[in-house]
Amino acid sequence: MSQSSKLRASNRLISDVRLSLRRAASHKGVQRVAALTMLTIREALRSRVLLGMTLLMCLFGAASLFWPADLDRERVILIQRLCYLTLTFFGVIAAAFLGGSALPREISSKRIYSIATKPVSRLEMLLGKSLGLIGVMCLFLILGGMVTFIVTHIAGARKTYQGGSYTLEVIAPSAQIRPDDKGKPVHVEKGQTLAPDGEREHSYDVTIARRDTTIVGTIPKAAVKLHERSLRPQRVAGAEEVSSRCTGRSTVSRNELLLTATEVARNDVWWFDVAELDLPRSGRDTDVRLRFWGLRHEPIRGKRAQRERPHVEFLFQNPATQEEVRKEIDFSLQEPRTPSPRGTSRPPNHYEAVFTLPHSLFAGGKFTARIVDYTPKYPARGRIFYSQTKSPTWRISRFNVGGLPRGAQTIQVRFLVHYTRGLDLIDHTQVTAEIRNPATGKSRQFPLHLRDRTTSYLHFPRDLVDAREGVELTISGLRPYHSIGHYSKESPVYLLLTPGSFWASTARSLFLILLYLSLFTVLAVAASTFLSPPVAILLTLTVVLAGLVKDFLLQTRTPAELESPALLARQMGTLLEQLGVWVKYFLVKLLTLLGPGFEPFSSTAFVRRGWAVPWSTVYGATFYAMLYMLVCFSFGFLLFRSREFE
Amino acid sequence: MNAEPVIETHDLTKVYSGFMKPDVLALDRLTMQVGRGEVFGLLGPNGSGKTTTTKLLLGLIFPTAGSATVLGAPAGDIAAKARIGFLPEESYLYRFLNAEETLDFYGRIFSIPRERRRRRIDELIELVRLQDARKRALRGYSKGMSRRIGIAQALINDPELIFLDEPTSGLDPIGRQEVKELILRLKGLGKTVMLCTHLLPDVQDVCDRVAILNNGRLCEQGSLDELLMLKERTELTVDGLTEKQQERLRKLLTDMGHDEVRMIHPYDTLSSLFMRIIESERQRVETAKQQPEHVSKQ
Repeated sequence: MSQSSKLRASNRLISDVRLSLRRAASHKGVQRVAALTMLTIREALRSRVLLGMTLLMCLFGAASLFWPADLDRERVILIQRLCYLTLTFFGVIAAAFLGGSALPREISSKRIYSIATKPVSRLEMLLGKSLGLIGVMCLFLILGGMVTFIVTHIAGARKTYQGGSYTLEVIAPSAQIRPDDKGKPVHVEKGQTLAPDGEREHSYDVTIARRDTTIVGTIPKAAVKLHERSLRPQRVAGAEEVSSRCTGRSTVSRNELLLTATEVARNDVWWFDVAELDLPRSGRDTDVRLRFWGLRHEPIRGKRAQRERPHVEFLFQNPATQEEVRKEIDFSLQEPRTPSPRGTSRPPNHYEAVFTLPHSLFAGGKFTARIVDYTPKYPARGRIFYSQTKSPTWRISRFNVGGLPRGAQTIQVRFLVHYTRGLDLIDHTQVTAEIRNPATGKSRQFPLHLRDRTTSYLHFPRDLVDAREGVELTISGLRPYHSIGHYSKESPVYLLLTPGSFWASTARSLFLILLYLSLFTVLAVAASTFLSPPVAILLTLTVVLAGLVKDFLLQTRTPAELESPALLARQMGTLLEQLGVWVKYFLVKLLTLLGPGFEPFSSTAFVRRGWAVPWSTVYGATFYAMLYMLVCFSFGFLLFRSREFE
Repeated sequence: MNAEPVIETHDLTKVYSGFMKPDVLALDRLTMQVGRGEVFGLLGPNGSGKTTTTKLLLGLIFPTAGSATVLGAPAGDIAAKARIGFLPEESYLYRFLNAEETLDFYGRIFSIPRERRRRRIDELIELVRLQDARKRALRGYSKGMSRRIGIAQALINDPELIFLDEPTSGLDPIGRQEVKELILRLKGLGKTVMLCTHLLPDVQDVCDRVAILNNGRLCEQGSLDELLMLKERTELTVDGLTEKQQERLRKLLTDMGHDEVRMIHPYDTLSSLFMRIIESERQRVETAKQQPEHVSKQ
């Protein structure tokens, strides 16, 4: 097809769409629905409901500026989250009260007489009222979003670290990414020389998760830490999602450890924790304590727990000498004394083993460990990587964030630092970030306060960012036991430039909240077609609560509790325990049916990390909300169409 | 009634039933017709079924039995509603809107094009004399003003059939006179008006035909002339009779056996007719109570 015919075809399509829209707009039914929608919005505006809600939002937004706890570490994101929560909270209350009372108020005040005696069908009445209330929610979110924006910027302006347009996460100790990568995942083949500084060759996978992004440069000697993990098996595809938690002691200085687990439980989620890794250079063997975290299908206790403890065969290898050592390690069950990785109230079972590593294995400063065999009961595959810094300084050079007009102005850099000093866990440190404009050579240094598992913000001044060349960033002052980075299932080493545009993030987050509020608005309207306003409001709020409880239960349940309750109940000792399993099973099932969970509409998980809400989440939430609203609306309509206005 | 019927009901019955509540027979087998171009009065005491009839005809409630057609379509038909205007008993309007916005909203509901809608709003505001208050929110209106804007909204679509429920309540004598003139003007334009009111003089002034309901039953139906005429008396209207001529006429009539000869206009009043009908109905109910019989509720 030639260019001109393509153009003609697209023009025809556009004109067809315009014509269809115009026809739809001129349709009398659409006009009536539009009139009712506008009337509902106007009523909310005139009755000052919206004003009251916005004032409350302003009040809470302003109050969040004075939030006393932990604001220093991620002030902007915390305020953003607070604002979103406030919007959601007030929105849900408003949705329940406005939605639950709008139709009954029309009927009890007999204003419905002046509508129902006009050529308006019941469907149009219900649709107009619902859309009007959704419009009110939309206005509320626009106003609330403005408040959020203002408050966030006030908060951001007060700090050195500021929210920005992109999130840059650098995990790679050494990577070279070509300018034409265009955002597709880039896999650098094994054996390729990446570090031009004459050091040992490394092989790493590099993933760029951002489209239309050009990154150029080398990143030698970066520290890597793997932190991100999930306690929620349903979010991970088997053991492929296994993440790790690694800590090193301050005595570790010139090591690099790659620990690869190949056989990990299929349905369980496991973590490795190299707790006391001490690789001395003095030529003596050293003890390594390896922790093995597990979230099991079913709770196990007593002798059975000892009998079924993980039995793992490791293959340790010295990459320099190719020396290999196979070692069988029996892990013994430890009580969950350590908080779980995500800080939930239910830490998983964890097993611990201490074994001695021969010095010959890490004589070259590093070794690799690979799981070659695993307890047969839990056959599966998975990989865990761990890498430890060799040098305290690392550099990102010449990255160019495409799509930003006139160069990157603000960039957030996410650092994850986790380390111990001796046996004490220390979760914060001060480093220095040097930002340099590669084009002009101008540079400045900024102090950067890093905390464990948090996002730090670094403002990139405009004069230090070149539109074409990007910016050079050097982090110095890292101690050897520092590690920075982010876990990825594909690779332990990656460079991730996520779209963290404030606008995109705000817009998508607000859209998710709008979907959530719309859902409850329609639910409340549907309930009010056959229930009195107080009961309709109560029902709506109950469903909200059910959704919250459902999310909580889903987060705290184990897969067996949902998938095989009978099996689980049989393993329980007392009748009461068995009953408990079934009660929880049916409760979760019921709530799953009733409660629209927060999960598809929650943007806080992304906001917390400083990421924009991904499109996949937006699509999923939209589909979910539409489906739910359609069901509620249809049910409400069926009852409303036969309702009499006495 | 010779004209083409605009409203027709056949055995229209409505029973209100509720959960844990006794059934209430609100309308019992009502059969009536309203012709095109008529001003029809629906009369009856409180609870007689007037409002129920109106609601059934407008599709606000659904009949338990029987049928009703309005403008040739079943009651409640959406297309037929486009040709109907309705003024409820009280002006249940959106009090946060002003007169212009109110009429604009109802104009949009009828999908009246913008230009025509604007012209129509101006005409109606002038008609109901609300020019000075057209930008004022309805919550600031007096009762009379509310009635007037209610009338305006009922006429926004230039309806063929207009239901007016107590259109003159809350209006001062001048306002009442204006409404009556408006009804007659609408009649002159060929519109059909169905009037529900307690104010019997208003009915007498404007209605062609009336139906009187009590306890949900149709007690009487017909033209005002038919209903109000006293057939056992004869009225002779003659111009310019002198005293002597009157005496001679009286003597002549006495000679013819008519003892009671009064030179007055012997029309009964609507009020007495109304009360007589209600009284006879009450007596009928009393009698029915003394002789219990099964009243079937359809």
